[in-house]
Amino acid sequence: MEFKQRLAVPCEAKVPHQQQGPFFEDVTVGQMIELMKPPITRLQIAKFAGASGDFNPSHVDEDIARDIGGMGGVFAHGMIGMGFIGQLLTDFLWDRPLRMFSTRATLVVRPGDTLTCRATVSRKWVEDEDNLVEFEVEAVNQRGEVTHSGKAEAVLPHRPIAIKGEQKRPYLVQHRVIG
Amino acid sequence: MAINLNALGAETPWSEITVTQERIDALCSCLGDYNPLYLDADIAEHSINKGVVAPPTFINCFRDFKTVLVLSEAEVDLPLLLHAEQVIRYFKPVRPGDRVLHKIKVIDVGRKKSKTYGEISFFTVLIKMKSPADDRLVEATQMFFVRDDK
Repeated sequence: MEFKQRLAVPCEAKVPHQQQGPFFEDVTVGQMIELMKPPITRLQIAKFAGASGDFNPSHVDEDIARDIGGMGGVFAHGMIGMGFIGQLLTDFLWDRPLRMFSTRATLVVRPGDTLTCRATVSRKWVEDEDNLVEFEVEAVNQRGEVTHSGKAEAVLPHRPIAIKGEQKRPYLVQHRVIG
Repeated sequence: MAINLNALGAETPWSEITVTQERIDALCSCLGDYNPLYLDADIAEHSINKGVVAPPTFINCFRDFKTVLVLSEAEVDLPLLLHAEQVIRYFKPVRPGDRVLHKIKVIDVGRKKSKTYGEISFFTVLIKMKSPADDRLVEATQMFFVRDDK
């Protein structure tokens, strides 16, 4: 069965159809990508509890979250926001592998909050055989408050260079690259 | 004190589980992340990974013993628990059908000052996921805050 049927994907949902991830040369320091998610729902939090096995009552039991947890009511798992940022990164990177991904939850996210996720390229470097790109990532709520912040590192390949009709990896023509 | 500091070093045994498309579907569905690389074998076949892989935060779905560890060893009252930060390191992709082994260990416990909650207990767990052939797949550290009981 096609996944859109299997998951009952809503008509308005964004389904990425990129066929190739970016090359190292395509990404520039300072470049920013953004993803705005629909408001978080209680159903979404309950579904995440089921998918992750995290049934902490702070997320699913209003009375306990308010009276015992003292948090003023249920709030979303911190990992939902991290999942949204992960979606932003992989929509952009497509099949380019992440090497590291970290987030710090700085503010609770409640049902009804709308998160906008951003990732900014903060560094590019080469480490042994890997070309690495670092992203500073964050999610902000509808009030502009940062709810998550962190970093991610991805490994991107070089764009092949055409020489006399043949696609070459840049290291094969290094004498040209460095002058 | 909202946590048993003697929990340091407590760990679960290695636990084996088979990654299924259903578990990936469940995570993608609740996140609203419909990237075909996680969901559509025909499209994913043309990717670098040559097939469907799990999303980057899939390791959060491996917690069979985590709650037990938190409750029985750290003696944490769950409503006072807050997720603080997580670092995930990726070594190899995880795919539907893979048999994976995972374990969780408490690697740090203590007290620290939080801007929001004042002095607070914390603990950090290390989650390891490897293949039956002992290949590292994904590893994560997760730090949790535990607010003091008023």
